[in-house]
Amino acid sequence: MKTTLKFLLFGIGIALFSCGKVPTSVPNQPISYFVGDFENGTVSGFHYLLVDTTNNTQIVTNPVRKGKYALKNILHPDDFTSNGYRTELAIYNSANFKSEAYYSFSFWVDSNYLDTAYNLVCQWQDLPYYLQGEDWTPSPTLHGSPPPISLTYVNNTIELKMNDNPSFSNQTFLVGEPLKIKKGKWYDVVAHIYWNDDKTAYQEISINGKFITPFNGVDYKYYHRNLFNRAGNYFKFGQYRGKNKSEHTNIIYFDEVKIGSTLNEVAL
Amino acid sequence: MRQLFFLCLLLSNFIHSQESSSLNKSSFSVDFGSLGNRYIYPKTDINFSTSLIKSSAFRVSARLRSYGTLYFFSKTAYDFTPLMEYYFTKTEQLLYFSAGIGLDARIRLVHDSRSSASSSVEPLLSLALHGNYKKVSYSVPLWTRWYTNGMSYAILPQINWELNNNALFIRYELNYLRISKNVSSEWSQDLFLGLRRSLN
Repeated sequence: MKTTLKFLLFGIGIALFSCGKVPTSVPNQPISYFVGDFENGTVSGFHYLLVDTTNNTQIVTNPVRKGKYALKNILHPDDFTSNGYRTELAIYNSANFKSEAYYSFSFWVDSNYLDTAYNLVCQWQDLPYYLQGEDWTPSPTLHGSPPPISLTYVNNTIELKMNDNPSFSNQTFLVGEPLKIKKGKWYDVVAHIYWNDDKTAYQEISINGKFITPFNGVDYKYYHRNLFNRAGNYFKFGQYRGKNKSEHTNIIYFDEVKIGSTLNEVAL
Repeated sequence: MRQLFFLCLLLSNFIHSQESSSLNKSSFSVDFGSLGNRYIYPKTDINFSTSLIKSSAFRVSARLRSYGTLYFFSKTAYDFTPLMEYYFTKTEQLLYFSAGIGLDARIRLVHDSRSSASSSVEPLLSLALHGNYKKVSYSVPLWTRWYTNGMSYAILPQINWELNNNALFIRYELNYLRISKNVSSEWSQDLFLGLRRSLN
């Protein structure tokens, strides 16, 4: 028994030198300032959620929102990867627990875009709570759902969709009114979001200077929980159609993708 | 904390004891969960417990928790928790206590640049209330763990329905995690169902 006790005390001594941090997220960690304006003529700086950068992305000189280049984002009918039809570019460390952030980007729906079914042009996807042992691929998969927030292009409109239930795929809800979108025209999105897992979280989103979040009597902040856990979310843009296969190849252009801590940092 | 320790010791001496020897038995248990905070996330535990020396008041146990699986093998995360406890009784009673020290090793195997999780080992102090009544036994451990930037407390009440050498049990776990510097805290909860078998 003395040996066991010595062994345990030795272990505790070791533990005192190998202690880690409390497995919960530290609030208000700074996000990474990010500018993705494609002016270096590449799609570098992003994380890819697409089949092939060559087939799904092109740097173009027309149309361009600002500068010389923009991104042509192409989703083919068979572009299925990471459990969905998608061609997305992602930015990590972009939506931290109890932090405030601004996001902006411009998009242009190609004149030949044919589908009317939903297509997410951007989303703030939840993350597994890594600190508490979670990962993307539990077995069996007991939860999986649409992201907490997304901007969805559907039937020639943009809708701000939120999801409150991480365990079901059919409980998204519309915030505000759908905004009519004309093809072949630039639209500038600015999102001001405070990330939290309680009702103090808010989102205030405008397109071409017009708020799509409803007026609350004071401002256009729509208060609703936007984190499923405290791991935070991350920002993605491009095209995502879930499991709905399209008959057509669809194109959307993007430019001036920015993430910052102030409105000035993301201004055009 | 010291007052609580002596209170446990005092109370344990006043409580009428029942004839039983299960404190000297080894046991093996498995359980499955979990309820989670906002969504269900699978976890499994394997636990082995035995007395150090026959009829001594010391017991050792080790729990291996696997994350993201109901099949015990995980590619992503484990917790390994060895614990040595002193029981302030040698026979099972309606109410008795134990105190123990141990380690909580968090083994994180995920390689994802979105993850800040890392492996570490923390010291653990356990104070537990136990009891038996006919076919039902219970235990209510309170675990305290120390980290470089804070502490955590967990209460893990478990109720067992004894069936000869086996027992069915349900365990609820409530964790309170506290970061000292940022004065930030989080509650989390889990629920497990399991089966325990006495080995001798």
